[in-house]
Amino acid sequence: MISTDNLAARRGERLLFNGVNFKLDQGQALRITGANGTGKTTLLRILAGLTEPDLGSVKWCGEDIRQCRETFHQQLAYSGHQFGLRGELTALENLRYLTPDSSESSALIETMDRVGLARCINLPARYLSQGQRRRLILAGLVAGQARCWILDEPLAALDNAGIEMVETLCADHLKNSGILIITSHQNLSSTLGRVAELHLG
Amino acid sequence: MLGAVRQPGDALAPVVFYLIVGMLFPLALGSDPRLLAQIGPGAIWIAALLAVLLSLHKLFRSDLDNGYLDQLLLIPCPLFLLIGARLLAHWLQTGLPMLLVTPLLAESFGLDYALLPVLLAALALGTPVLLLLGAINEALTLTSRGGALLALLVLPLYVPTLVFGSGAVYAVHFGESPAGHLSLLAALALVTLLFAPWAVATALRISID
Repeated sequence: MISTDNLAARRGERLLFNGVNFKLDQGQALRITGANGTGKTTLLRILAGLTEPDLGSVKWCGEDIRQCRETFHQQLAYSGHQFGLRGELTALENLRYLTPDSSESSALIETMDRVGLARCINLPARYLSQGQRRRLILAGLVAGQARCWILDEPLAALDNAGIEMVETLCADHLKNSGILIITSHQNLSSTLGRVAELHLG
Repeated sequence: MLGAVRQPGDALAPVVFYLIVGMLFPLALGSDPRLLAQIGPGAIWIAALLAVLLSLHKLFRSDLDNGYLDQLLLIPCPLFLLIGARLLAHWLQTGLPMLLVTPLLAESFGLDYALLPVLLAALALGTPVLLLLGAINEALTLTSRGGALLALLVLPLYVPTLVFGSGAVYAVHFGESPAGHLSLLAALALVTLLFAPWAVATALRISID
């Protein structure tokens, strides 16, 4: 359902990658690997529609995402290096902003409980640790019910229990016919099943 | 839908700035009541302009730094609507309080009470324009380093608002009708309202790229 057509991107004078072609259907996952600086984040941002590629296009269900931006973004959840949380709002309020479609507070609180943040619901986000912020973002992913997850280093700043939780959530997402694109320096465990790999650089 | 974002503490800074700058004029210029009454409207307008600029400073900077801007651009709703809502919220927490304390400033200049309605009307029309234009500037200069200098580039755009705004008050001061000035201000407000949110949205997309 998401496919690319000869993607190429440049940073300054340097060509980051060229001729990137792939197609992912429901329930499939892709892991993008490569050394630091090879353009993994740039590729993810292009796939999410935040950055324009220098060449080529990204297609969602056959349509260029530049044409069907709103439809695509409705189905997309993106998690980047920075968390996009507003420090002065509480964890719960931040979650509500991340998932504008869902209106049930109880459902959000339940999701927070699932990721282990039950004690932080009314804590202003600036008091959360890195690991807790990461879990909050994950809660947003789960609550948002997007079809396509694009995650940039989701395992960073997590302890072993956290890593296990992320992998379980991703596996559940794939079982529910979701699409997953992920970058990670660590190897993913087998809970996710078969994961395609794309190596940059 | 995205509602007004509460920023306790930060919100009042521009309003206090407005008051302080406004109050500084009478203090610095002596107590000749005629002089004060003459420069009053202009001085209040300058204070308002500076306060609005201050409130916009780094409007989107922290959003960019903490990744919130990314998420904003990913919301499946036309960006200009979100920006419009955000700027409206911004005006409500900055412009509106400024309007509320304006009578205090008018008093400190010893302005005639008859001038107050026109002053408030002009500010009510003009502060949104300043806000919207300033937001465009902030969005365009988000990722460049010459922040303060680039702000100077936009300054000429503020001039019409300043001229019509204070002109309206002076018109009443001299016994003429402020209708002309006010309708020009209203036209400015309408035009900026229509195109500024879209311009800010486009500038943000470009800055993020």
